[in-house]
Amino acid sequence: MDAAIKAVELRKTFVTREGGVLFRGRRKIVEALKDVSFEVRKGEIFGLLGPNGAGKTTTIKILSTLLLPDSGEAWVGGFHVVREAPRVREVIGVSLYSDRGFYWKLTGRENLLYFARLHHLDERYARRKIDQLLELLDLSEDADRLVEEYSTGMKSKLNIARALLHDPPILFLDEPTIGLDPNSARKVREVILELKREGKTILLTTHNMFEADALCDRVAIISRGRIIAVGTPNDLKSKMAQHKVVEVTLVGFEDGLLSKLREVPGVVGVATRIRDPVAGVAEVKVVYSDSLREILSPLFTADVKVLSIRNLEPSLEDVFVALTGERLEES
Amino acid sequence: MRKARRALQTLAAVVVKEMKITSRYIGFLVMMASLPFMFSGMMMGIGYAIAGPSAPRNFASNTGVEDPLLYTVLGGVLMIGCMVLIENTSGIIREEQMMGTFELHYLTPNSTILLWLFHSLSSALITLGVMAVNVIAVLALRTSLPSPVDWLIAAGITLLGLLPLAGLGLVVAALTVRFKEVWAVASSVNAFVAMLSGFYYPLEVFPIAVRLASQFLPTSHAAQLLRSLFTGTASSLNLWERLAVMFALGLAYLAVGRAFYLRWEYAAKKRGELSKY
Repeated sequence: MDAAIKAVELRKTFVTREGGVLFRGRRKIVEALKDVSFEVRKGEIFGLLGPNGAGKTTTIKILSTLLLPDSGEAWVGGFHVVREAPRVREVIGVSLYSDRGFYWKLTGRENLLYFARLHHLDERYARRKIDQLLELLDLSEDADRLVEEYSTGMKSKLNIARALLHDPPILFLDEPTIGLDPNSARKVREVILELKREGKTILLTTHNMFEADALCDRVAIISRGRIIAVGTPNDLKSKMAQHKVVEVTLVGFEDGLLSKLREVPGVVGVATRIRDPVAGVAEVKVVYSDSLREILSPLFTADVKVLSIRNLEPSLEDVFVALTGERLEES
Repeated sequence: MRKARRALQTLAAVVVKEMKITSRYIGFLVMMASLPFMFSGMMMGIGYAIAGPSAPRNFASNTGVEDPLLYTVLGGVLMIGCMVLIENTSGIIREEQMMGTFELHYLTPNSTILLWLFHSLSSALITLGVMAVNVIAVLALRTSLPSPVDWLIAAGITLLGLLPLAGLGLVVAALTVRFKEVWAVASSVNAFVAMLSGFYYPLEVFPIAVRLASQFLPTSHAAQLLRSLFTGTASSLNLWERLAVMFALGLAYLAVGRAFYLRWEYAAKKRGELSKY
């Protein structure tokens, strides 16, 4: 098998409970994955791009053998994730959380050493490897501090170091830069690119389009448990060649305005981000393929005050807006 | 051979980690070491309140032991050890889930049941250390120190008495992880075990049905054996007979714990509960 990772029609449904006081609440069925299929080639960085709740972490957990799919199949490093789970675990490194996954009363180095021992690494090799990884991730100076004193950025980097302890050829990184300051995020991105240069295959999830654009060889856009599109960032953006993007900042936004805009012929996608809920300031992004005047006509007839109109270069987020009518990040 | 070496490596990793963490919670160690004395003081106080000056005489005639402090400290150390072990094993899924370390163990090439049992073994070893300190203190004050062979036998009895409880802990852990009531269930189990193990009194005070039920607890055998080792009291079964019973109970407890845990583990992987807390 040429693909390092292959997922075929993965489905996963969760049953959750809502409310309930003394007894458990009402049953609610959530379809987390609906026939998700994709392939990741050896040595590439593949991004799963989508908003929170899109199914990214569920996909990673199935591929890393932590979750059983309801149906569908997947292979990692040529091994089946259900039938050959122990073999899969030998070839993967997984970073699942940004700031959890450590014993607070152990130092960073002691945490890594514990997991290195659980991977049965030779003691001297493990210590050397840990020094190397701490150096790579700029954590050498803080290696002997208790993890309870670490910042989110340091914990996130330590998570990546742990995933690399046994030198796996395939890496799963779940939102590796979420909640990080710009410097830490940049460092993590540099490390990811360095790992790619070493020949590792990396599957990362993100809802940060800049990150997907900057790091990924190919990206799968995932929304509400479905893969909507797969391609290189440029391929995906070229789908926008016939489309234009405008962002309107306005005061007095109401939900009804979105449906009015969506009904205008030529509008491909509309999404909004509330900037100031008290003042009612919102940014409305419209992906369209017709004349701007027609597109914006509902704005001029509505009871809103337009503060600015900006034409934008199409980005991955606009592809996302065009395909799903959602924005990737809420803020 | 390779499997055994790897298991030992995993055991060493867990024990070193647990010892390090415990050594950084000094308050916990102080509590473990002091609670048996506090409980002993409480029991002796109650005895004096009920029987007045004849309390020591009554105690000696009912238990066959002249020294109530040694008797109750031995029982107290076992009781605290038993409580710590059941709570640790019962709460291990929840605690590790909350820290985010639970799933990470599933990504290592180890049996997860073995991993959690090694965590319980670490708890038992810490209890052994505390027991040694406490019992040495009392024996040094009252009589003379036992021989190294006696210490080794005491260590074996304590481990054999405590480790099977890990099976009980796994059952509680597996049953309660969905209902998020681990501490309530673990504390109830602890109270039940403490009452039936005779840590502070001879089990002969109970009716026959309760005494029979207590024979199914490895801790009641451990308590009797430790007492007969350090205080010379007579026991209805000899050392090897009791050890054989404890060993059989240990296997049964661990088998039940394993069965429950594996069932929960499969369901958790289906429902996505490995990381839910």
